[in-house]
Amino acid sequence: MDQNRLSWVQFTLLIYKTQIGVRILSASRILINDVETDGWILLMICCGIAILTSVWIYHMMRLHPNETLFDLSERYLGKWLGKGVSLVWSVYGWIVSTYVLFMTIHLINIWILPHTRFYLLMLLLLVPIYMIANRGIQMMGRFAEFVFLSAFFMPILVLFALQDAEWKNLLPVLKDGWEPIFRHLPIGLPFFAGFELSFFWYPYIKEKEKALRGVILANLLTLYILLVVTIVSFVKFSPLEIKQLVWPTVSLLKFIQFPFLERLEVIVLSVYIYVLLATVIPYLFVALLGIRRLFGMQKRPRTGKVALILILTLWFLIACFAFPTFVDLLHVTPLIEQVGFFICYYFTIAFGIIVFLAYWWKKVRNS
Amino acid sequence: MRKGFILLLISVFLVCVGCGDQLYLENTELALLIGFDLAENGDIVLYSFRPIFEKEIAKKYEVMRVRESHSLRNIRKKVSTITSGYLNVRKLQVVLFSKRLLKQRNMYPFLNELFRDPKSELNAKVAVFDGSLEEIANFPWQSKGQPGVILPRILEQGLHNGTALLSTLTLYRKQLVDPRITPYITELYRYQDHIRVKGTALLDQKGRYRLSLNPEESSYVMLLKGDLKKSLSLTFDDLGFHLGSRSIGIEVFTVDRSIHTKIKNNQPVISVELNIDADVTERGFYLPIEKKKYAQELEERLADAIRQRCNRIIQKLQQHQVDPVGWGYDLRAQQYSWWNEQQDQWLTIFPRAKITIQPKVKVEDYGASM
Repeated sequence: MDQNRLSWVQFTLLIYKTQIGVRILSASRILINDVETDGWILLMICCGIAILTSVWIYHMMRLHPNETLFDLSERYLGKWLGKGVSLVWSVYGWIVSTYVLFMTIHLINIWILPHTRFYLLMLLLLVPIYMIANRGIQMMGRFAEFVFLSAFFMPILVLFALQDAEWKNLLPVLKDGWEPIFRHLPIGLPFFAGFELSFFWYPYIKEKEKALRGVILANLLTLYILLVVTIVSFVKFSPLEIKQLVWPTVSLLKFIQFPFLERLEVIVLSVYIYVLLATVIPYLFVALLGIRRLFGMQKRPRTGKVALILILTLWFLIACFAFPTFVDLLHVTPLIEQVGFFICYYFTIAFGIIVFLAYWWKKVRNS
Repeated sequence: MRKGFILLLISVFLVCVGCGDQLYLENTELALLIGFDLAENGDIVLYSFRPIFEKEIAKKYEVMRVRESHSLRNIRKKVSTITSGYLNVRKLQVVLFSKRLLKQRNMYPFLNELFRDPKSELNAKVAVFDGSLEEIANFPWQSKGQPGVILPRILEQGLHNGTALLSTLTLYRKQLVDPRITPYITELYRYQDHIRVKGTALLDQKGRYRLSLNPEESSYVMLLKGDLKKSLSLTFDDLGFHLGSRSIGIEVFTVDRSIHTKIKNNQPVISVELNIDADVTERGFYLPIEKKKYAQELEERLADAIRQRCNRIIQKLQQHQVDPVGWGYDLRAQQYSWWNEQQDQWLTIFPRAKITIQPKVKVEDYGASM
């Protein structure tokens, strides 16, 4: 395994950019249905939970600093159960990356290029995906840095929409008390999905002592973006209006007009494609890692590349012949969120308990 | 070498992907201004004003009239059978309704396509025209300029001078959807060879026309909303000083509003404090304002006059059951549990709400003459 290729900044940005995906574009609508304009409180609590889970992962990975989740699961769960875990994670990575990629294409289709065929858009996106996923982890780290820099202006731009904002929309704080917020935690937690991939990045980090700082920082950055986006939409739109908008965050950009520039959302969404690709590629990469593990890494060194090409071809064929409609994607969204929720939180915690118990037991037996 | 050639070929191909979405200016019916009027049989007539870019044509705009009753979508389909292009609303500046139409019909469902199409321009201003839109179509625009350029300026100016409240398509939707406020839009009319601002038209919760406010009243609604775009000029004929000519004019720069609400016997009690900073721009009588007593008296009388006028307008609004000021916002923010139960009946409760206005005027300066 190639070691030590990711600086801690790259690691941070890689996680952060994975967390920022499709869901943030409709964040305020998702939140307003259940917790009204108190969604920002919910997000803060969820960020806390995400950070705790990340710390949990960090402590798990610290026991064996040069191994990914796949090695760990074979070590602690036995060969076959370990392979099962690899299979589940590969499928998970593949499903999430497929979902985000298809959403990206629909987003471009709806907002920017309504008459362009899906397979052409798919072809355009497959080129960078292939180039980056094929080069491996270091390239992904650099891509994350690039995306961070090129998308840096977006949250600042959203603040321009604050003209004529109605801050009274946020009052009263905690409208119906704490109870609905705690009841709806599962709605907020998937916003932070993406930190679970640190299971796989950890062995590659150069400065391992800074990994904890990195993962906490990543979660906080995500929280910051989420807060900006949701609070601005809450004060700019009225609650009932948000329910009518599919992507309130994009609609926010419609308000922003400069004397020399109109329809800013087209430009911003074009740049946002990078951000979405930075979610697609890490998940795809995890799927590839899993496939390599399943089909033997040493014996056939080219497994990863073959699998990558196969997946890309499959995507292209889907785009040509049976591309799901946007409504289809909306319908599978809750399912994917549930799977993600299960893997990010339940699996991580359960697996962690097994690892810590086994490690402790081994220590006791040895001494 | 060959590899480079293939790469070049691929990149050329990739660049061409977006070509399916090209749009020729000549092939579009680029509407800057669309207007809706009511036909005799109840249909809706669409007026679309499109700029003409060809140099040879002296007339710089074209008006088109299409009849339809169902939706904007159908109208656009009909337009494409008449002209060389599809009606395009991406650069829309103004949406006009005739007053007659708004009295009869809620236009929000009709415009649904506009809000659904991600490419339409939702910052377009909305206005109501008192009269038939034929008057706008036959207006001698040749001597004025493009209607799609002039009308937005008139509307903008009305807002800046405080003679009318301005609404855009997004605001129009927001106010119709939100139970806390009722919509307002600028009202225009034609006076001889001028298109002029008549004031503000207020719609009810169902999007139908209710009443009009003249420029003077519009200024006070703006004051009550606490939302000035630039500054607001108010004039008073008689403040009760027995000294020759009596008129006095002030320019309001900032309004600081604080609102307290209570629920008493299940009825809302709203008290509004307005802290007004103003300059005196006109005073037709002598007053020794260097003496503190007189200056204070003037401020008090100004506040009194403002309170009287605000009360008159509030009465008018309550009588017609419209709430363009948006007191519902404050009730929701401060009396959430009450509001949650009553929000659907807010406009029927509103006439019985007790609203007290307490303005405080602070004159900053009196200009260059004593």
